[in-house]
Amino acid sequence: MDFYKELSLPRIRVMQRPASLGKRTASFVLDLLLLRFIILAPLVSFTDRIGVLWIIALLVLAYFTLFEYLLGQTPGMRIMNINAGELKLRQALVRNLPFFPVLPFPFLLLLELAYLLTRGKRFTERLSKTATTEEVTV
Amino acid sequence: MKSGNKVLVTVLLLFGLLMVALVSAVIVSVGGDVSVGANVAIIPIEGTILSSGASFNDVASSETIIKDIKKAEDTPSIKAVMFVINSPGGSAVASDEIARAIRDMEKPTVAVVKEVGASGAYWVASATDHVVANRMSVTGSIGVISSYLSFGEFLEDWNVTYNQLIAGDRKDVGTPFRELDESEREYLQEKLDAIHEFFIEDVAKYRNKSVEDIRGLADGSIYLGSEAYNHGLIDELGGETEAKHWINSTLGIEPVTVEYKHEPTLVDVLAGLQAPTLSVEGVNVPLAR
Repeated sequence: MDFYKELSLPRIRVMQRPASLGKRTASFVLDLLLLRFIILAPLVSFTDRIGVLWIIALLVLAYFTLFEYLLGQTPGMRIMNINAGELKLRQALVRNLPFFPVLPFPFLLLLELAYLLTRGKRFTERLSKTATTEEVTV
Repeated sequence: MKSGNKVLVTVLLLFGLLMVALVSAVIVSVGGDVSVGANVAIIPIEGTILSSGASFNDVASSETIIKDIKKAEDTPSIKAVMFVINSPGGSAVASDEIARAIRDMEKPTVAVVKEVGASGAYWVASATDHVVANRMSVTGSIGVISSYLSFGEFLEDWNVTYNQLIAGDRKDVGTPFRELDESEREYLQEKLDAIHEFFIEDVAKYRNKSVEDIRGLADGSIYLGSEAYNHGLIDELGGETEAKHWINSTLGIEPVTVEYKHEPTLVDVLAGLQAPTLSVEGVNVPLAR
């Protein structure tokens, strides 16, 4: 008896599961490379100026926040096929505060890593009630 | 959201962020140096001195350095310029261009020679108001060199014929495919001697010495910093600390430095994979080494 045919079940199912640490890390590295060598490239010669450092910090935050708010994923996440889903702007902002390179926000990265290793999701994901998932084919 | 729309939004967002960065960079560069409290610009001269080329590729581009000099001159908060030199020299033209740009400056200039500041790099250093070098720095080498590999005899050994049609007897002087004859050798030597003379005259003018005094030192010899000091080719033994003391004593200001750095973009890295060429029509560009 062909259960799939009898019960009209799809032979291939796509499910969501929490994104792995490897994929999250890889997507972050890809985003950093994109930021460093393309978006922030015009500004690297001026990093001795405080005003420019602020512009860079805001561009980094805008990059992560706007991509997740508008598309649910940054270019790095898209390449690694992981997704944050549909977010409100406030949620996207909270999720990406640790990437805002102005003290004290980078200290949140330590908390993020601890949460990720022990509970499978980031601290800011818990705070914003969001999740980062990847698709798996069953 | 459809996949096509996602791509469009991605591209538009990346473009928008890049535009913000570009506009910010333009505003900052036009606005001049606004580093907090900086009053001394440090312009590094590292690597072979050439007219163009990427600074990160071990090339000190005269084009880039002259732009930095102009930036320092046009920035009101900058009161003096320090050239930190670590270069074996390079192109005579590029070295002369930088030296002239330094001489045209109205603000005080000081050169700090690190491991090497020889030949064309010394030409540049001598143009500053005050030259500081470590006692073991390699400097001097006031001479000119031009060289190339000659394959004439190799081709003859392999029965390869060199055919070149020229209009103008000396058009192919210096071609690597045949040996130089005596008259051609003398002809090229005259050019090197002329460049050497320019080098000597400029150093004499910049160092307030007679041409004869400099000519006596200009046989291409290198001088350690301590020797250069005794010969009057530099003003002080030391490093950046001594240079800052000179600025302080000259201008009465406490030096706060800002370095004019040039970081490579991804495009620069890819473009820099092609090594800068030194040959022009088969004759090596004379190097002030």
